[in-house]
Amino acid sequence: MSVQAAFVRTMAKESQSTAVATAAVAVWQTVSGVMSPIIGNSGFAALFKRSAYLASSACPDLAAVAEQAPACAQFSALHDVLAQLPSAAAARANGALLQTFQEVLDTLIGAPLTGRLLQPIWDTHFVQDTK
Amino acid sequence: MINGKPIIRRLHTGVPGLDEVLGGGLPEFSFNLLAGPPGAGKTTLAHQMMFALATPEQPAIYFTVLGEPPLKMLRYQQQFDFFDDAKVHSSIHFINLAEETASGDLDGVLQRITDEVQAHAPAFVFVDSFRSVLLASHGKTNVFVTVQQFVQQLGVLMTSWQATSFLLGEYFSEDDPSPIFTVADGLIWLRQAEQGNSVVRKMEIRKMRGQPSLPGLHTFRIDHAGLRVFAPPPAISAAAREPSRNIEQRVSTGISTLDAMMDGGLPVGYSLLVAGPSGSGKSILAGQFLAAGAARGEVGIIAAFEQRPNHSRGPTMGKLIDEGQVHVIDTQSATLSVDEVSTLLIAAIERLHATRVVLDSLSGFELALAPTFRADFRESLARMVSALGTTGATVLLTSELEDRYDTLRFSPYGTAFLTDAIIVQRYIEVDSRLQRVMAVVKLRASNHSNELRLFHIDADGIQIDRMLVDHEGLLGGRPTRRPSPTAQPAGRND
Repeated sequence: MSVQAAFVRTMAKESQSTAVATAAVAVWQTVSGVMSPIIGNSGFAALFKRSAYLASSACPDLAAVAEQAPACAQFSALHDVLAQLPSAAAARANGALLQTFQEVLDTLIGAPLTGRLLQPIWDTHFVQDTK
Repeated sequence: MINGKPIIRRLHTGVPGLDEVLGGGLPEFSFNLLAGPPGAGKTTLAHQMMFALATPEQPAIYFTVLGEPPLKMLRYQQQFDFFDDAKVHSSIHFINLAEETASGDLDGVLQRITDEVQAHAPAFVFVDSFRSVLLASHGKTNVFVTVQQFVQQLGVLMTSWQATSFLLGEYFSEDDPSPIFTVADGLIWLRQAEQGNSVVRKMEIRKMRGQPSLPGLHTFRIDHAGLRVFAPPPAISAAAREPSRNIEQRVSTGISTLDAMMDGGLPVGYSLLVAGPSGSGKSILAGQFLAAGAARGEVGIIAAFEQRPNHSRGPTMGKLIDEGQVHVIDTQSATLSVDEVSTLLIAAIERLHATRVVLDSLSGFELALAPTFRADFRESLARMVSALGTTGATVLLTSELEDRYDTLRFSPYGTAFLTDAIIVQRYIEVDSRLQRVMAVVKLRASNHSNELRLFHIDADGIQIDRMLVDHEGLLGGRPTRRPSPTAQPAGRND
């Protein structure tokens, strides 16, 4: 199962988009907690922004996240965007963002190492395994 | 008196040849500097050692500073065989210090390193690269600690945390009396030496406290497996290796008449130089020498430096190679060094229990060397021949001999003294035909024939014929028939 599908499935019972937004930010904070020490805060911020930009072609709402300049405000921008969407759409949008982030990282450092870093996060945050 | 000296454990770096160059491995808890210009291989060397050394019980932290973006580093380092992604996040932790360094506050950098070292309790710490730490501190008016203090504190911190640590320096001027040099226990300098169009990677152990590292510049290569250092073969004095020689044990050259001329063959472990002009049959003799070993079930090794190694060896040799009786040393890579070929040869001899080694030819070998090594060719060759001598294998070297009849030379390099035995081949003109002659010029500590024998080459190889007893002046190339021929008995000398 893809990362996007796993996130959507995890959020399936959430009817409130703010709850989806909060859950999304929690996942991203964990991802940042793993990735930022390795690639630096600015390195992580750049990857996050790039992922939001790429994902915005499928989910135009994410464009606002990509355009958000300061790295420290990226997650609150994401929260704002997701909270304004219907909950299902919010789950899909963040799922797409996570999926894109993983794919960008795959192309840079390869799937095995990416999996090694991100899979434990998916395993903790998502109800079903995402393999 | 009880010997209370602290015992310094030597760590195996996992880099082929590096432990030898370091003088037995890397001292545990040492504080080392890996220095060199960009592209010298510092990051690769650091990663290779880290992946070899780090375990879940003895983890490593790799601090990346401003230099190479960590994503790129992970991307490129994964191309090497030693990169084991299963170790990342368990045995190996990558930590980026860009934010702390960018602030220029060395105190902050030191604090962050301290925090991470306390959190992970690593046995190995790498800081890549240190130069950026120094640069970042420049231009700050309120630097709380100086660079010297920083390095000193880092050194103390690492040692008291019982960590073996490495600072990677992007570039240090060799004349720079940098405080780091004083503090560091080990100083490994990587270079890219340039001469003509060739660039050769060299490593120097400038300092390694408490152990005898090998002085000098050691060549290394970087390939998909990472670094490989070519430590010079240890120089063995002739006296040290002589006693082990039992010249009663002989090996066949593959030509029975020649064996007879050598009083029963070439003594085991001897080195033989076959010198002769182009086309005189040196390689054929070398091939017969290997075939004679193969016939007895022995394994041979050939390092051939011809232009087209696959074509010129002939079907017999090709078959021996295919059957694994003769192992070929890869000599096709550019910028070879004598030490590299020695290392490859000795490793192959030990691995295959080879008894016969051929190096064909010294002239081709010299051409294959990177220009920077040609000046030292004789010295390096002497070391190599001597090191090959310690393996117990019998060695045959061929050497191109310029056809000159005004001087009598056996080798263009003055290499004749290097080997235990010399066979020389010459062309002579007899009755308007180009004929070949061969003689055993030298056979250390053994009787040998002094005959100058005609020989020809047919489908079975070299066939040694009679002496031209009715001619004289053979070595001048244009023998003249003697008025009244008198057969001379085959003499012995030595």
